[in-house]
Amino acid sequence: MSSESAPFPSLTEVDRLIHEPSRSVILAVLSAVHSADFLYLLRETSLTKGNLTVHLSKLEAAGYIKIEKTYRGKLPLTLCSITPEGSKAFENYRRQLRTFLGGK
Amino acid sequence: MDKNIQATQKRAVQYWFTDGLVELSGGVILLILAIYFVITALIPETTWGTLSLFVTMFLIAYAVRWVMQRIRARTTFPRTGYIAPKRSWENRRLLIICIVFSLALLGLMFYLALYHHGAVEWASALCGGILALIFGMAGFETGLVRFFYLSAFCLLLGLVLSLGGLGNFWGVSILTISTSLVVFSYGIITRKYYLRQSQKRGGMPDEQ
Repeated sequence: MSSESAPFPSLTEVDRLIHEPSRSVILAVLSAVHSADFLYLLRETSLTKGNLTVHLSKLEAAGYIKIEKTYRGKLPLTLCSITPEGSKAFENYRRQLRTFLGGK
Repeated sequence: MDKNIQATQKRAVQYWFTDGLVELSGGVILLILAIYFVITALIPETTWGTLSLFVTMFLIAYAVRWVMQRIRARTTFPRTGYIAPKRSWENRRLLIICIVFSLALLGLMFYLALYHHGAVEWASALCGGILALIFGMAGFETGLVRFFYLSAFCLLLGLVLSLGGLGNFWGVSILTISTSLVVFSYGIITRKYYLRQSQKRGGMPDEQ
C-alpha cells in the first residue's frame, strides 16, 4: 500500500528528537518560561541527573535549547532556555501531533 | 498527549507562585500605594507635588519587586529549582495589559490630583475595578483560584466603599490597605507551606 493512499497523516514525519517523552517535557517547560534551571527540570522530568544531562545535550546540539552555566553563591546553576528554532520545532511537532490525533 | 504538554506548561507558569513571594511583594507594593493615597488625602498640594510623590512611590515599588526577585533566586533555587518567567516583551498579551493598566492608573492619578477630594465619589470603585482586573488576569493566566477570590474581593470592597460615601482618597486608601493585608496574608500562608514542604539542598553540584 502506497503512502499516498494513507487515510491519515503519518507519524513518521514528526521530529524524533522531540518525540521522546522526557525531551518533549523539557521543551514544554522551556516553551512556557524564559528559563528554567537543572533542578526544576530534574523534578519535572523525574529523570536521573545523568539522563537529564544527556537529553539536554542532545537538545542543545540540535540548537533547540541554550544552556548557560553559572554560579549562584557557591552553588552551580545551569540555566536552560529555548531558542527560536526550538520554539518553532516544538510548535510544529505539536501541530503534527494534533493533526495525527484528529484535532485542529 | 497535547493535554499533558499543556498541563506541564501550566505547572511551570504556576511554579512562579508556589513560594508566596509574588503575594508578599504584591502586598508590600499595595501598602506603598496605600501610603501614597493617605499622604495625598492628608496633605493638600500641587499637581507637581502629587506627581513627584507618585513617581517616587512607583520607583520604590519597582525596587521592592527587584529585591523580591533576588530573594526568590536565592531561596527557591537551592530548594526546588528556579525558573524565570517570560519577560513582558516575550509575552505580547501581558505587555499590552501592562501598558493599558499603567495608562489607566496614571489617568486615575491625574484625575484625582486635578479634581481632588470630593470631586470623585467613584474613585474607590474604579480603583477596585482596576485591582480586580489585575487579579482576574493573573487568575486567568495561571489558573490559580485564589486570584479570582482576590479579584471579587477588590471589586466588592470598591463598590461598597463608593456606595458608602467613601469614594475619595480615604476610600481608596482603605481599599488598598485592606487588599494589601489580604494579599500579604496569602503570601505568608503560601510561603510557610512552601518552606515546610521543601528542603534546602546542600552544597552538592546540580549535575554530574
